[in-house]
Amino acid sequence: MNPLHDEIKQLIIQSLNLEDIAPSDIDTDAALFGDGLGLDSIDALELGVALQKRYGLTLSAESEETRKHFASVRALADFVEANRTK
Amino acid sequence: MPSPAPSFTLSGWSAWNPALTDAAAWLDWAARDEALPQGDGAPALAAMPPLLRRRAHRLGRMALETLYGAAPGDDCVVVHASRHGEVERSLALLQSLAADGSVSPQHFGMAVHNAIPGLFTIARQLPLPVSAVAAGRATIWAALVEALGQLADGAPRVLLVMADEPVPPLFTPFTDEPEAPFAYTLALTPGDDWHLDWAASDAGDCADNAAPGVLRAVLTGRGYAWQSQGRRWRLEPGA
Repeated sequence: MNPLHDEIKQLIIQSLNLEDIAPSDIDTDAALFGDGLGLDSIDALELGVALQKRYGLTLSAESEETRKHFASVRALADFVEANRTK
Repeated sequence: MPSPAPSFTLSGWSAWNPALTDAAAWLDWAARDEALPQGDGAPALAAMPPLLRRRAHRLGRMALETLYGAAPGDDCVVVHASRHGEVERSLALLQSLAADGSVSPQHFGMAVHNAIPGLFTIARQLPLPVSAVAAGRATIWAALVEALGQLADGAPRVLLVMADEPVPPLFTPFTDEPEAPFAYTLALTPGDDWHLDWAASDAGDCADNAAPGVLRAVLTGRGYAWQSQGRRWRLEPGA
C-alpha cells in the first residue's frame, strides 16, 4: 500500500465534502470523474486547488496532460510524486 | 381605470426551521404571534442525491427541503428569494482570498445567488425557469411581485422559495431586523384568494421581519401590512 495513495484519497474526501465515503471505498485505479466516483468539473477545479496548496504543484487547467493526471488516484499520486515542491 | 391588484391562490406550502419541522408546529407558531425560534440544526434533505446534497450548506438544505416538500412538477416556475443568500460562505471566500489569494471553486459556485435552485434543477433534471431575488428588507415582497409577474405571464404554478439565516457575527452590528434560520416554499397558482398591493408612504418603518410575516398571514388567513423605505406593502385575503 502506497501511503501517498491513502493521503490523496483523504484529500479528495475532505476537499470535496464526500460525507459518506471512506478512503477504502475509493478504488486506486478507478476513474475519478464521470462514471467512476461520479465527480464533476467543479470537483476537478476544487481538487486542483487543494493539490496545489498541499504539494506546491503547478497545474494547467486546459492541458491534455492535466486530464491524464486526474484520471485516477494512482495517476494523481504518480504526478504528485514527480512534481511536488513540498 | 386602474388595473385590479395582482392576486393569487395558495395551493400548497412547506416550511422549515430548526425548532419547527412539521406543518402542525408551523400552524401553531403562526397562531401564537411569536418571532421565529433560533436553532442550529439543518434538515436531512434526504430527497436529494448525496453527490449534490454535499454542496448545500444549511441555507441551501433548508430552502431545498421546503422546495421538495412543495411537490414541484415539471410545469412550475421557481422564484428563489433570500435577503442575505450564502453570506457565511461569501465571507469565508473573502477571508480566504485576503489570507492566501486563493478561493474554493466549489464555494464560489455555491455562493452565487441562484445556485441553490440550480442544484434542484440538476438533481431532478428539470430545465425549469428560475429567478433569484434579493431586495433588502423588502425581499419577500419583491419575490411576490416576481412570482405574480410569472403567473400573469402564463405560468400555471410558481414555487416561491424564501430562505434566510442570521448573518455571521462580523456583520451583526449592521442588522436592522430580527433574524432567525428559516425557509419556506409557497405554491402559488392563478386565483383570487390573496391580493397584493403597494404604494408610496411616509409612515415609519416596521420593526418586524416581513418574510415570516407573510408566511404567518397566509397560514392564518389574516391580512398583513408592512412598511419600510418609503413603501407600504399589503397582502389581503380576497373578498
